[in-house]
Amino acid sequence: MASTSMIDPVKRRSDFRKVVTPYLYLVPAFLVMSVITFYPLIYQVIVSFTDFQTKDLLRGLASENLNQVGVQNYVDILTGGLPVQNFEFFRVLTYNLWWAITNVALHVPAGIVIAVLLNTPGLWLKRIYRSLYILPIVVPPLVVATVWRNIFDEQYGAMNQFLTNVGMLFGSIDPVRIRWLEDFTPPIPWLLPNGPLTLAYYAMMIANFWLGWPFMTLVATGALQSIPKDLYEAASIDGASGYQQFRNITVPLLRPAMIPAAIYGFTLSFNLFNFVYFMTGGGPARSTEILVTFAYDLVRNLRLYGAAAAFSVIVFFVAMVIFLITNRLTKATENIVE
Amino acid sequence: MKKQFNLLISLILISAFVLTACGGGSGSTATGEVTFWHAYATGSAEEAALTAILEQAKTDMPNVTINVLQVPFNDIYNKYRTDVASGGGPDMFIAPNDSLGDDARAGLLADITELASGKLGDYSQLSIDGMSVEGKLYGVPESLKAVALWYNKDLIDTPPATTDDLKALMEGGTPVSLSYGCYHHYGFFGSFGGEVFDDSWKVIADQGGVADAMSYLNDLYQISVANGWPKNDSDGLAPFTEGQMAIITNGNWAMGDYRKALGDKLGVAPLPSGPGGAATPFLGVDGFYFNPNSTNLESALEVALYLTGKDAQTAMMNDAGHVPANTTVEVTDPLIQSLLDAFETAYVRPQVPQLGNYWSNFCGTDQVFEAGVPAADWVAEATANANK
Repeated sequence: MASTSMIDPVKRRSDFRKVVTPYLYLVPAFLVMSVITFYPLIYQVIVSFTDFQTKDLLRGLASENLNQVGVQNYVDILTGGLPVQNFEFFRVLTYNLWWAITNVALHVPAGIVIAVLLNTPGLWLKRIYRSLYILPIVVPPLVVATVWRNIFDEQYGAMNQFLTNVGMLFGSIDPVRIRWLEDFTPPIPWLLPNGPLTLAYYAMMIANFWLGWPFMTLVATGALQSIPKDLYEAASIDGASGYQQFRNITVPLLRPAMIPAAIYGFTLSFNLFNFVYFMTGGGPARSTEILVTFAYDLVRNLRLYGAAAAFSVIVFFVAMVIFLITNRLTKATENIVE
Repeated sequence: MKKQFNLLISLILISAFVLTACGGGSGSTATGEVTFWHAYATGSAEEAALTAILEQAKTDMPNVTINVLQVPFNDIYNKYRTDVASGGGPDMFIAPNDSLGDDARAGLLADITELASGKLGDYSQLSIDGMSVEGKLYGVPESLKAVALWYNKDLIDTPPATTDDLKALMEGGTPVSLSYGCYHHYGFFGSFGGEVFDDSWKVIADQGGVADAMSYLNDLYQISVANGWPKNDSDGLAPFTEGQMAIITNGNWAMGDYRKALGDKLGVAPLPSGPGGAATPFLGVDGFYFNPNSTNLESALEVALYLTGKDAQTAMMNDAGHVPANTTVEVTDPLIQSLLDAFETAYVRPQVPQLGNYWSNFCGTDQVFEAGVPAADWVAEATANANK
């Protein structure tokens, strides 16, 4: 007791201020976030327990026609009970995960290989290549999706014309008419038995590869340049071959940079709305639909606002599980000092 | 008492003068600004015709400024809904009556029953019905629209009258751009005697007819695929107008573009009839709908009446192929007359919420056409789903 009374009141006030000041600074940000982030989130959760439709749009939650339906929307989504054709939640979820994983599995190795090639000492016009390869990152995905959709057009698309020309080299005269975005027959039926991987999936993989690898190359180039040259010198003195150097020096030292990049790529692909929506619109027969495009369809075409809200809440939990796993892997939110 | 009487008389006199002043001059009472949205495609004949009419409106209605915004058709309903729900939006917009019932019941459209009372004497009853929900009027009708069969007289002499004729024609290699899709091919259900709804709006599509039509359409689809012919109206536009396709099925909103390219070679006929009778394409009514948030509703109505009046509609008919709702417009064009004939068997789009069950369950047609699900199974599943 005696010691407390001995504390200087001025110091006590400054301690108090020290504790309170950060919160004061956070207040404006919190106010803004509560309006633009938390309010819609909470509103959406409330809507997800109702049968919200166009009739309730004008008065919102105050609408007298609004019915509380409890967890019915959630049950309907998980059991395929929505009045929507050709929808199985778990098929879409599996496809969505597969889509994200296969994209990353292609982009990361390709990005690293290209970065290593571009990092070759003495390569001419290195800077020009590097800036050229940034282009796909800066072009809006809407434009990319539209261009690629045209490339894969059955009749006028560049892809079929290119294949026709290749065929001509081998003596074929018939024009190639692959129906990239429409054909439903999966070319490799066993690949993902749960959800048919139609040609549209492969077309999208090709297009998204164009979109995805430059970012990985960018990250890998940065990481490569931070690897000390003497490591390679020492290794070559010890008689390590080029491949051994790559495996034992480059790859381990790239890993700290590439894992967060891969996870970023994964989440980006997982929710790649505008690309999927504008390239295939989820077709054919909803085979390339991902969770976010489906949620959008529920609102836009089917006007099932309540079900769509419930759907988004489920997507949120799926994303959270993914976040927790990846966060454990990368320790991204850990404090630098801890 | 006398004082009050004098005051009353003065007020009556003043208001009489004011009203006379308003009524005189140009003949239009519309004032202020009226904003409206339309979804006519950029560069289309419809858009060009509208622009010309609005230019004329500047002279005819000098006291009102008409602001126009083109909104892509895909977005117009959603954009309107979200804008109106948040207290904004245009004074009015023109669109087909695709979601009239839904939006009217949601209170997103102004009830103009009283405001327009006595002003729609010149419009056909069918079109006024198309603007009404549960006895209330929600719009000023502009034109009638439905899918028909357009053909190039250079490539075929007579259009196919029956579903068998059409199939034989396609099997024989005559290039046909058939528009598949739950809106465009709805008419074929009637050709096979199929009905989607019963009298109480329960979905009964699985009771024959619809499945036959889907199976027939699947046969045609496979012919289209094998020949690389277009399978929707937008892909078909270029080849049909360039004279590569003998036939295209589409709504009459595209007539202006077809005629611009083909001139007198363009012909139109009803969708082919079949074993179940005449085709029953959806008959929609385009009209102007009004925003309950609008502060200038009376002027907006004036503008809508002007844009659907005799002069404006004659221009829309001749330049853009609109089939006018206004009966004072003189139909001289044989194509418009053929369309009016084709519309006789059409199915007037019902404004009931249950129509949504059709759109949400019968539009995934690539299940049949691409994934190979048998038509009867698909129809049965869709029916069960719709009645959930």
